[in-house]
Amino acid sequence: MTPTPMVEIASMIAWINRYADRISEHQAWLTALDAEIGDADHGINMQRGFEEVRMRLAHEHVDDLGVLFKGIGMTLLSKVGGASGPLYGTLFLRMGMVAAGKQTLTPVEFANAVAAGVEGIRQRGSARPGDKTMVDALMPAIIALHQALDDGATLCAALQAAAAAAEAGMKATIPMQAYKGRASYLGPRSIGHQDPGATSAFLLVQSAAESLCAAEHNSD
Amino acid sequence: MVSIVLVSHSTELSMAVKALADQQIQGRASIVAVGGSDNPFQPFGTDPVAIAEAIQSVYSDDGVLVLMDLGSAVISGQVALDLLPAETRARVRLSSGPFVEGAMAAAVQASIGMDLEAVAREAAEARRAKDAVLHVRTSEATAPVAAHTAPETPSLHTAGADVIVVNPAGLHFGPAARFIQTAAQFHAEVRVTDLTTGAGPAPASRFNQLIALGIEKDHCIRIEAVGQDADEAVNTLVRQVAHDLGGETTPGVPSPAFPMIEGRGETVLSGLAASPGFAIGQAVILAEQQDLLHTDERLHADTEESGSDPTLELTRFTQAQQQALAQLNDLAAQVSATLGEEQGVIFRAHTLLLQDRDFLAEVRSAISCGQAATAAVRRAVRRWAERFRHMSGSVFQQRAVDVEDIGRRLLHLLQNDTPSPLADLPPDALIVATDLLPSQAATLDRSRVIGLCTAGGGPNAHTAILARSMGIPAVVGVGSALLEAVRPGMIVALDGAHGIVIAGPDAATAHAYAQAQADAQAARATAWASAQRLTRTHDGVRVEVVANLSAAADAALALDAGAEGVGLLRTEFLFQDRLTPPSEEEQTEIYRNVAHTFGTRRLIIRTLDIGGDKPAPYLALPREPNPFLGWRAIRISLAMPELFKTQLRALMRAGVDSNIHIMFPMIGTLDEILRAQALMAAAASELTLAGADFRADLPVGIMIETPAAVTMADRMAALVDFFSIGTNDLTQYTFAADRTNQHVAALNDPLHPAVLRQIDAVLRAAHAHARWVGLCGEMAADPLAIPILLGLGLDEFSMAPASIPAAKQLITQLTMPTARRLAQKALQLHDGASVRALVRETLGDILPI
Repeated sequence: MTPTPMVEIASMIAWINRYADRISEHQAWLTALDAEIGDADHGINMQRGFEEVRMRLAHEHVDDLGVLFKGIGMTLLSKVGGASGPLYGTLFLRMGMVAAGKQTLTPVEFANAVAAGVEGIRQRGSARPGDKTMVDALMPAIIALHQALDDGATLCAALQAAAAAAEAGMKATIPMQAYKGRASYLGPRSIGHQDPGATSAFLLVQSAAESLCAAEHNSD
Repeated sequence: MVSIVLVSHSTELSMAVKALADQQIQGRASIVAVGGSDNPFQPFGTDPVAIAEAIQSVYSDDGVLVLMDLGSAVISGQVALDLLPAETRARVRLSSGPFVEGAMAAAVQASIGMDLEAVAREAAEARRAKDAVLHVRTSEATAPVAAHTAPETPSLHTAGADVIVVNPAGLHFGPAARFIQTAAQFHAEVRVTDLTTGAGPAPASRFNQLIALGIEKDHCIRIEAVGQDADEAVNTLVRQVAHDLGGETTPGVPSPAFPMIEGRGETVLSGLAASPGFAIGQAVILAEQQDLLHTDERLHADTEESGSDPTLELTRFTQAQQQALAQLNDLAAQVSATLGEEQGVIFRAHTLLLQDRDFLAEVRSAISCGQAATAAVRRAVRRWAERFRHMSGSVFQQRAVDVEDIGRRLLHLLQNDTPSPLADLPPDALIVATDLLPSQAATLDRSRVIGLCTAGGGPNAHTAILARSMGIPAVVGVGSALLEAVRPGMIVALDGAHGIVIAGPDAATAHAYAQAQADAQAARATAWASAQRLTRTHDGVRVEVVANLSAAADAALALDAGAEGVGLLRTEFLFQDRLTPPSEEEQTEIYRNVAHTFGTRRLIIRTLDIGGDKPAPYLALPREPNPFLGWRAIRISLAMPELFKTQLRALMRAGVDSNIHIMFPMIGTLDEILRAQALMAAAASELTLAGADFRADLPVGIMIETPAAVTMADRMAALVDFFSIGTNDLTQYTFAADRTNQHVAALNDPLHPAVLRQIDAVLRAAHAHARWVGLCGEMAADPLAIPILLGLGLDEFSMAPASIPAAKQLITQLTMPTARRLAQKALQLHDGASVRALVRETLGDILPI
């Protein structure tokens, strides 16, 4: 049996940088989605926040995953306007608490850290599945991630399953009525539009699958 | 003075509101504005880090109120709290009040020196003024129900009544604190006399004078009141004293203290059983701390008695007292949350003593006479403690320890040192001490302290009460032999149920105690772990086991016990023992808090179930000869639509973030359901009008507790989402036997086929309409009833939290085919006794009884 591949600081930085790329590519799309049911700033805000994160990562040497995630979280709190700053910030701050003092994580530890982060988002926004928020992409992703790891999948395969679940969750927000966030002000008129927060959340999970699968293949 | 932080998406808006408020109060309170983003292209936003910094820039121990405009500002405010140090966070409140009106109200309150709670309350209710001016319908309900409020009369009423004290601990700290809090709600002077001893009268506004009466269980006391609502005050207080049993249960008969017995090289000591359980570990002897209270005064005579500046010393004392209050409030909140409300009251009582006018006057006058603050506190505390020690009744002698606890806290604060924490404990620490202060006991590290024993103390002392609620085995009152026999690091074994302490146990004893300790831990872990699992029968059928709650404070307890949700949250506690009905805001807040505790789990909240037996002064309900057949529950709600709609609005607002279900009590007719739903729709449109955030489509269910509802269940099922069968009332209505009348109460047997057949009928009707059914009577926890209810197809069992682990364990051992056969046979039997015999005969091997 091959030893369990570990999640390392370098692969986490690769993940975040990849996500920053994806946000930049899709900035206009995210903003357009937000223009339909929100205040047309989600793509712009996320791009600004993750460019700031990318710049800091390039200049700071970190050898503790807890410190890494916490730094990302704090940067997002300050740099991303709207609710997505505190929410994505909380995700990484909570991940940082779980990963504190560690240089590597097993796939299960990584999944637990992400789950703690998603739980943080859920509590912070008190959003439930079905409220048409990022939780609708993240909850199915976490469930799929844990399920796949329990079934013995590699981290790459498990993240691919999580990304598929997040995508389905993202698309499922289209027919939903928003009960949280700015979109909820629209009431039934929020129906028929894909939630921008669920979209950026899907991109985050997809980026994780892409960057960690690349790392897994390189280590073979 | 309370400071205020204003958070807006817009820098300009937050600055403008600050300017408006500053102008109103002329700088008499600190207000800071924060908001906007530093990105010129996206100027609107909020930054949690900036908010946290703003809070710290104006923070003082008096606290900070944060007002936010909307949306992400609220989330950012919450995140900012997370970024603050814990001690700062404890004194910061996020306000649900409207941004502009709330800021103005809060600024005015802060500028006149109101405390944080008062400032926060005013801010939260700041919308009312505008509602009233514009005659918005919602305002009617937030104001007291006018027709039922006692008219304002200038004349002074007097009232009085005698009552026997039932609380086993008399009218001591906890009950006395509750008594004073209740008395303070009325516009009347209340005084108390102990008719049994002739002590008193003492004013109910003076905590120390009240407990100094030395009122014990079974004493007859007279409660007198003078003032405009004297009658209500006396009635409410009499009812409270007559029913206040408190939660401080005494463990079995304490064993008498014996001198030490030498045997087999080990020293066996005997004390008083204070908290049951076995423990064996390393003795950690609490070093005799420098005794702050009994320091030899001559050593300090120079510094303390002369040359002190009274003004400076008074300021120092006031600061220490305020800090101590803040610490105790935090401790009380923390203990309430982790150990229970009843335990938290111990420290709330400490705060009352710290604010007692007589105590403060004694300290202040000593300082004015030239004593240093430390000396004045030491003297006053010693005198108060002595006074308690000389009172008859062991409870009062133990209260002296509480007074000394407060004294030590004050002295530590005055001397700027922190009490030596119990640091560096071994993982199996067994604390040995002369005595342990309640605040020390409450802050013990439960992961390391496995037991405690003290030379002094008693099983009723607060330290013992705390040890029991923390599940730490304890023996107290061992006597001075304890500290002679035990050396630091020595292995000590302890049997908390029998009051036995063994210093230096031999190998056989040590093995036996270690085994008993391990067994108990394993059993607890198993029961707890299995209680946290979702309930399935042995053959895999899922049923829900949920909790009945009578107060918001029970929520955490229920979760610990393994509740999968709440099948019944009674709301009467919100409405009783007060002069005006609770406001929409107050109710929303409480419902939200409970819902928050349960997250996504289902929380069924029952609307008001009040009647002539549970009066509330503002409802002016007539006394009725038979309140169970009278004007109560949904009948009153439908007759008082504003009262009812206020509750419905609060439920729908709290429903936004939660899995709240609404349940109507005592439904008898289809028309009642339709009228209740119509009022729900009206409440929803009022909320829409008010621009509130709410959820109109909360699931709605009804209690099935009248034979009429049973009979019409098939029609009712079409109108609602679920049923919950209230078997306590259904049984008494079925047999027409008042369950509070001892001559007929025995007729009320819920296991009688007369009741079982009705449950069967309800389940069939509901399931035919794809509606689920719960049961929230005592029967749901009865191990003899559970197999039958399961067999009849019940979906949800709702019971007192303490019953949950055992009920879950039983259900997991049952299979559906067995339960169904049993249920069908039971329906054919002729009385309750034969049903019980059948269950025992069939399932005798797995029943716990």
